[in-house]
Amino acid sequence: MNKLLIRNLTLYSFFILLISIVISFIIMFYYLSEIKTLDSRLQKVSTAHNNFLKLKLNTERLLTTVELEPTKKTWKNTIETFNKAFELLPLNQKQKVDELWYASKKEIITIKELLNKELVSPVNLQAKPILIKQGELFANGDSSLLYFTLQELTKKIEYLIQYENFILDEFDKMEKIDINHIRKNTTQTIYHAIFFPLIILVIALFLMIYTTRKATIIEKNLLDTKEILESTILQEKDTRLLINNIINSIEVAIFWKDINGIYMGANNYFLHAIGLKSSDSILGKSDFDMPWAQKEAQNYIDDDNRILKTGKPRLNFEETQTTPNGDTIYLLTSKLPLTNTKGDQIGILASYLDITEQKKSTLELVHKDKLLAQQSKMAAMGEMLENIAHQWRQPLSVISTASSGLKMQKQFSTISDDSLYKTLDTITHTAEHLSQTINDFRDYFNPNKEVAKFDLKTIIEKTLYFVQSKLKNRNITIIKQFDNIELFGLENELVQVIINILNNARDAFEYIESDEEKLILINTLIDEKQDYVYITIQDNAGGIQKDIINRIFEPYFTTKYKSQGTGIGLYMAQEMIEKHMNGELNVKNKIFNYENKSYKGALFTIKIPFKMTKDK
Amino acid sequence: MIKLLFITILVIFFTGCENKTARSDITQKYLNETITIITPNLGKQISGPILKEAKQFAQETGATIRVVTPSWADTIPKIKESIIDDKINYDIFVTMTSWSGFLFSNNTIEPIPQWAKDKLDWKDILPIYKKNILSWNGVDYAYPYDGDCVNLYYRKDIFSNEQYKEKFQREYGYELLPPKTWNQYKDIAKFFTGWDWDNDGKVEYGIAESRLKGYGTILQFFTQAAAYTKYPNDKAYYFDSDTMKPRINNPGFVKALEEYIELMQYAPHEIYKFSPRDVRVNFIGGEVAMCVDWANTGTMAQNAKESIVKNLVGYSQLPGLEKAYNSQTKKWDTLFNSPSSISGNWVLLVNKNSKHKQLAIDFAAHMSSKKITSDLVTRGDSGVNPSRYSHFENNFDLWDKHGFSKESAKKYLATLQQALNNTNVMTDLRIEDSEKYYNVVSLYIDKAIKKELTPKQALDKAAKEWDIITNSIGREKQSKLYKTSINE
Repeated sequence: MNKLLIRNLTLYSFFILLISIVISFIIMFYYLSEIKTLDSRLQKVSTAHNNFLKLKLNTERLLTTVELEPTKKTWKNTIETFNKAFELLPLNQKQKVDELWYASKKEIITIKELLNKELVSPVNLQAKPILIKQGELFANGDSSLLYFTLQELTKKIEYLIQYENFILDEFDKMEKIDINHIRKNTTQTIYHAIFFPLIILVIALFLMIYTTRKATIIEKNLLDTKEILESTILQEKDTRLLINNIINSIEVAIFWKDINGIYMGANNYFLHAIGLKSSDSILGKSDFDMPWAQKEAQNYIDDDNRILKTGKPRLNFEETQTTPNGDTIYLLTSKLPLTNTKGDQIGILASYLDITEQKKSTLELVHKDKLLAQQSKMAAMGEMLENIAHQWRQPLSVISTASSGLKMQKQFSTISDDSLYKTLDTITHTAEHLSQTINDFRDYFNPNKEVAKFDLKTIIEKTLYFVQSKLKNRNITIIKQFDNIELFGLENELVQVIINILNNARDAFEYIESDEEKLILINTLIDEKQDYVYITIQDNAGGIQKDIINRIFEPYFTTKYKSQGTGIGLYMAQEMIEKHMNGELNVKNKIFNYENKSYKGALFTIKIPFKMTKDK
Repeated sequence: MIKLLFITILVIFFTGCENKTARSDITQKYLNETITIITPNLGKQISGPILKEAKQFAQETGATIRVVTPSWADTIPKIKESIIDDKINYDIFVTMTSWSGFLFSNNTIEPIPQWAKDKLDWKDILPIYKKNILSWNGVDYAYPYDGDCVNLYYRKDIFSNEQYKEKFQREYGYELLPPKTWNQYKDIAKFFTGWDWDNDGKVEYGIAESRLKGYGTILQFFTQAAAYTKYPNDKAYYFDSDTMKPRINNPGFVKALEEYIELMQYAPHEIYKFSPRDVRVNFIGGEVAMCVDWANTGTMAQNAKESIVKNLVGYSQLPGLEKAYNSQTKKWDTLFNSPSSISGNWVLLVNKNSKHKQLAIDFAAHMSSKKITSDLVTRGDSGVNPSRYSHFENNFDLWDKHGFSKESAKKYLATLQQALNNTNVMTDLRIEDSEKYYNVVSLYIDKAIKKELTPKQALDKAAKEWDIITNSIGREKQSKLYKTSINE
């Protein structure tokens, strides 16, 4: 009922009052007409009742009268009179006495027959009542026909009187019922005459009170709602202002269109970008009215239509745009369908970020990376040349010694053919060895980046072969503990990474003055789940200083003299592991035991996905 | 809430309009229901208690109970008329045993339902009545109101008078005791006839018996004739059950009627006008030394205002006979034949077509209940006699209340009990139009009593008319009904 509108309440109240009044009138009318009907019925019942009472009195008089003949006549007349009154009785009342009157009439017929007998004539009765005469005959022990006839007549009249009593009882009941009905209906009429106006008054009062109460509540609710609404509007305004400020202050272009691609608004950044001063000036325009190329406009509209059709947003995609100056800029755009509170699409909300500068920076970074890679390669080349030089020193010395010995023998004519051939074979063999060395280095420094299957142990052995001469020169002992692990990947890059780490360790030993044995421990292992392959390279060069350990993978960071290091070796190594092999390259200082002696040094860990490499 | 308000208003309106004439008085279980009971007008007896109880029952239940009491002669015609006339309806018929046969056989009576049996305590009813009076073809129809049994009543003060005893011994050669045979009965009747044996200054008589033309007389005749011709092992009495040939003119019945008429000389001269009520009035008035009657004489002697023989009455079995006529062999056999008579019982029957059957059954069960009948059997004016085991129990307070000494009550009940335990029992005729048979035989016996015909002539004529009645109804049908009525 609380949700009931006052308008409806008034309508209902009107109907209730109307119905109450109508019902009151109907009921009053009903009771009054009932009283009238009952009164009419009661009159008929009373008439019949009175007639029947006369009949009964006359029936009884038949037994006691000395004037039997006139009584018989009167009795018969009262029968007729009652019979007429009986026929006029309402059906319901008639039915109540019908069977009784029927049985009585049958008895009346036999009584009439007996009364009409000559035997029961006044002469025979000697002007005495039937009962008296019968008593006399009984007392005299008379068992004549007259006695038995009178006895029979008496019993039949008594039997009739019994039925007459039943009929009178019924009339009494009918009259009582009718009188009671009339009384009750009269009472009801009075009762309703008082009760219904009171009820209507109560209803009216109730409705008035209820309506007033309802109106008060509604008024209060309205005031409360107004306050809340005002507060909400203020909050809304603040929120909108804040949103506008945010939208207009951020360096992102934001705009929105209707479902027909017509611009409905935009933030200042966007307006500024397209050379408009106010948001009103963009209203009603489409992409074709914008400064960008027609083809771009068409692309944007197609894009919008796709989003509206699918209902799915398109986020963070790159696209180009021609500025009013004719420049091409790069945009990182997001578009999503705009819906109202019912969930219906009403347009497109879009934003973009001008990433032209970032794009340029990225290109520069790519270029820089390429440069770094080149520098790294050059450094590696330098290293390799040094290594080759080391490799070549001894064979060149052999060739030099052999050729100078041969020259000396010739000068002193002590050379024999056998010695000549032997020495020449040595020179040839050594020259072939040098050539083989070049081939080996060339193979492993080939910039080929084809993924191939390789054995990790072989790769590490080969790497150590490249750097062995420099390590031996510095009395660095390599301790190897690795298994044959088959991997898929860029083996030359892995070689380059390991060389960089080994070179870094070798250089670290340069800066320490210690009599301790110089150790580099190389281990390989696969984790329990066989997800990763780990290659650890541990030295005992004292470790990396805490303040620089987090910076050693930065490009151009070096602790060496400019002539000794470029600062890009470890940077490139990490780049290769992370970007080309989806792995990790980390370093930490670690104290470890080797042959019951404790050492401290840097531990480089190369972590390569095993399954991924295997899948490849 | 608006709906609630609306409904409330309507309820108030229509509650206001409610007709409050319908009272919710749960005790008025039969309010606005009406039944009509038809019972012959027997004054205070039989119909009297019904009128009284009907009024009480009506007050308690809200029912309207109409009791109509036509004359004896009109009762059966009116019952028959009601069966064929839809506009005349009686819900309960109060009938004598002899009237119930045609009602049972015509499927007009509602069997007693179990709840009514429970109410009236059916197990308490004596088997002799259940078997011979209340049931038909194995179905229980009749509500046991009055358990009639005919016995001999005598003045024990006179019978014990030593002077009289000696005189009797001298004259008849045997001791003056309650008669065992009808011959002794006749001797004693003769002995006490014509002299003032009670010293009241008036002449007294030996016996009082019903001789007024009608049921009382004819039932008494058949009661007394039973000793002559109700052969112990033969259930049939009035007819040969196979042929429906009347037996009432056989030598047994003729002899019985001769004696029945001869006995009249030992009774007051007005005996030919005596109805059963006159018999009782004469006995309790000290006019006769003996009478043969239903149990009413026993009670009236003790509690009627007019009785001058209170505590002076002796009770005895009906006299027997030292020989009996065997209707099958058509010979007199020497044996002591002393059948009992349970003639003239009054029962209540509920009309199967009653519009208020529940009320009718309820009232019939109430009227025949232990509570009501236990009181009525102790009252001489009720016409109701013991029919239940409980009526014979040692409930002497009630008997005492109605003038019986404990001694008298004990002897009275013992006598009735002995009669009701008799295996050779005479019952009323219960076939189609029984009343016609009774009317015919009543007419001719009356003629014999009035000496208009000899007993033989009277009974021959009666038998002839019985044949006519039987033929008009159907011999086979009547045979079947007669066999059913005697449980053959």
